[in-house]
Amino acid sequence: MNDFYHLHRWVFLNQNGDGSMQAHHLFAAYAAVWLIQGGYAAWIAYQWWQAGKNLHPDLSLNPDTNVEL
Amino acid sequence: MRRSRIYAMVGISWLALTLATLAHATWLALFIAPTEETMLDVQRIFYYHVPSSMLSLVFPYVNLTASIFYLAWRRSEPLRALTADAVAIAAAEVTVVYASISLTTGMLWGRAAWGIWWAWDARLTSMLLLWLLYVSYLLLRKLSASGQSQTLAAALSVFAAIDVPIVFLSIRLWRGQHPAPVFGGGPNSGINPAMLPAFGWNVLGWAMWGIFLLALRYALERRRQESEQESALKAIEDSLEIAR
Amino acid sequence: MSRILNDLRQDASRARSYFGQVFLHLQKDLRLEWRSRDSVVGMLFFALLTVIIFSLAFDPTAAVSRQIAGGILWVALLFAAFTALNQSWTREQRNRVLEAQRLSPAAPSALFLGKALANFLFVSFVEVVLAFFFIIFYNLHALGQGWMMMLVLPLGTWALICNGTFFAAMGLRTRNRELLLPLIMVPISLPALLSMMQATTAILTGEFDPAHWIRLLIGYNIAFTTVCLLLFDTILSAE
Repeated sequence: MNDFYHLHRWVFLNQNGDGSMQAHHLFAAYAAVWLIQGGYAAWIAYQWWQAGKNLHPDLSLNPDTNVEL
Repeated sequence: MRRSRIYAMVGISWLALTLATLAHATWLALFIAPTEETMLDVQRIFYYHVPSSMLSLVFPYVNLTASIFYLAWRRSEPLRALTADAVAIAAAEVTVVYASISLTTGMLWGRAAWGIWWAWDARLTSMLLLWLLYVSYLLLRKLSASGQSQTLAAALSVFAAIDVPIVFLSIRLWRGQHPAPVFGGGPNSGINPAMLPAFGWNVLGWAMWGIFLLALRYALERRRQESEQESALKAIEDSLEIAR
Repeated sequence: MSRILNDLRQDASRARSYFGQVFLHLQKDLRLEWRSRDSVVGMLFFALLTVIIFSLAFDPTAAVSRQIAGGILWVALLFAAFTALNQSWTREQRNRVLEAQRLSPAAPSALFLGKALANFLFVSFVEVVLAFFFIIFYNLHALGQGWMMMLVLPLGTWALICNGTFFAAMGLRTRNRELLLPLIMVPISLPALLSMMQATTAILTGEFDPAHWIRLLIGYNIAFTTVCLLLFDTILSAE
């Protein structure tokens, strides 16, 4: 009786020890929510990091440029 | 860089608070809230499903407000208009996320409780149409020509926001004035008061999470705008160099 | 084309009123369409083909066809409208008419209204012909109050055309113009589509009252016509 077995029992079986489609759906629903929300947040964070790579914080106008303009 | 430090600190604290709230709310939903008689444990999906549905009706109006500000400011104060635009697209994406969650959890609940993945009932259909509206907003953003996409999307946002109540009204009319409660124990039909704490905490938690997502997506959009402006500036500078 | 522009210039001095401008734009579109007639003919044929496809798909008996004819009619018209709407704006682009319009002091919403009215007339013409084919192919006769179709047809058509003309203008400078129009138009139009289909079915089957649906259509039309007129200038000059 390893830990996965106990975890499976804890998640999917109710007090009487009978599992149900219900428990699977409940688990799937909660997991889906966290997957979608967490996945979206992670995607934003990754894109934010990607956008940061293209930024050049020390970009400034060349002071010699527009003397005659 | 001090300002961005402050933002980061506030952001991380808010995230920590939100996750704590959600953890508490989930614990309440799974273990403390009473088991419903007919649907047993699968009814607990309600605690994630209903707050998400409610919130997915709020963010479209954040999108509308931001779009109106964008349209008002785009000629007079173009830099402020960009911030409004960033809020608009953030709100639209968060709407789609929450609507997707509402649909997914609704389908899983329906499958377990009634044996069907989908029913063209008032609530599911209206949520699907809401989802479609804001996906079409995001598609317009993606497909339209680059200088115009903000203005066009802002116009579409007005259409979509006006359409949302019309959608709900028309689908309600389609399915009958008093649709059979698809999900028993909805918040307006004699909810067991023992369920309220779990429900309330979940509404709070998911609202806080929504605000977090909004802020995060806003930050991303602002970064992209900055990057665009920098490359435009660089292009101007390069052309000046050549003109020299 | 240049002769039309000449006429417009002569008329322009006379048409200072808003509805004068609308009428000018309407006339221009009608005249252009009359020259080639390709848009209306294309629409008609496309709608007819759609009807035939649905008949092959469902092979309806007389009773069933009354249930589904409402839906099929509006689907056929919707698809037909898509083909016409994109074309209606590219016409403006071809001779740089849009730039001229933007520079002129004429109200941009007058251009929109004129074009929407022209499209409305074209689609209405297709509708009348299509209704004739429906009666033949499905052996249809309305069990409810048939005269109400005289209300439902223009209301439904205007709901589709008004938003359609606006969204077609939005997609003008977009790469995937033909793809974009149905993608953004259909979600917004779904409540209107539902209303017109339900109202038509109610009239054909006589099983329920179309009044609520007609009222919803009227409300929808008022709301969105206003929004289209107010926002057209914004999207025309979306730079």
